[in-house]
Amino acid sequence: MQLFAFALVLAALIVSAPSAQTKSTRATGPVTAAVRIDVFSDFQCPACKSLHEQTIKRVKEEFAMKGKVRLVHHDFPLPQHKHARHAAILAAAADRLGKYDEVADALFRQQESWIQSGNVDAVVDSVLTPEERKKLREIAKDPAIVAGIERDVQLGQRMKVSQTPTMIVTHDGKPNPVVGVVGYGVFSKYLNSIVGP
Amino acid sequence: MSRRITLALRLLLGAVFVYAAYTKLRQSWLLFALSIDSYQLLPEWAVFAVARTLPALELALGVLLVAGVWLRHLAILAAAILALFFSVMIVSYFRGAGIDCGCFGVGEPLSAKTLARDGALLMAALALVALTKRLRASGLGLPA
Repeated sequence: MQLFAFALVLAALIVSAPSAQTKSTRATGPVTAAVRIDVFSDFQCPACKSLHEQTIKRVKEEFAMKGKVRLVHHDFPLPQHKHARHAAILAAAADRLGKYDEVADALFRQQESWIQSGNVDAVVDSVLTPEERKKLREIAKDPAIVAGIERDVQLGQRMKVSQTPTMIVTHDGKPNPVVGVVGYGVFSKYLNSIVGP
Repeated sequence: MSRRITLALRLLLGAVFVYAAYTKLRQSWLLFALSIDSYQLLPEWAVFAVARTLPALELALGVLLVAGVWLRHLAILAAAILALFFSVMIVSYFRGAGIDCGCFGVGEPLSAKTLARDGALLMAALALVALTKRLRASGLGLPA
């Protein structure tokens, strides 16, 4: 029964992951990688900023881009974070322009300022050209963007994610939740132990 | 009566320590290291040292408590360890860290429920310390 439930969740993960054809950078690394990391994150959560800046960026460079792991970002905006959903919508829209990394980095880097001002758009605009800004506004209106975020949230709930950041590291068919901020040193040692040489 | 309560407390605490060790030893020690690291209180080398040694310490403590040897000293050690865990959890909880407790393997969020449980275990260990002291003072000896 547990195995069946896990198979369902895994199938949902694969379906919900952005496909390679869209040139999405929310998912990095080969689909066939032996280790899969699903990151459930909220742009307005300070711990998510720390995890992104200290650990995720390096994991992406050192493991995902070298084909050792599959790293997938999922939006999990918490209801108590007023601007988190809007930030997630803009980041998802930026992904369609191939600018997800730039926008996500900017949102986390300037998190403190837009949490106070509420001006998420200005932060996003700062890393886009005028033409890209225009396109992004159009894309952000697409109901599929909001639906994608909703799918991420539902997936997180099915995987018993209750707080952010949460990483689900799946290896040998077994998902292991890693909750909160963990440093790159400890996390990379764990990944090396399961990725192998 | 005191002897029966002492027996019940040492068996309870012993079982809890053995179970805590079992849940950690059956998985990669690095997963436990990740739980410790998420508390963000220790440098990396200390995270690895604690992850490597704590499960073995818990196992030894649990087995010895169940066996009932060196009870007075072990009761003090159990209370000290539980007091340390409890303070670390209190600090992290009120700091708003959304993390795993790491108490019994992965997947248990640090919550008011975990704090209540660990607080109760600490009380049990302190009661055991007090009872073993009283039994020793009264010359009744400790239950085997």
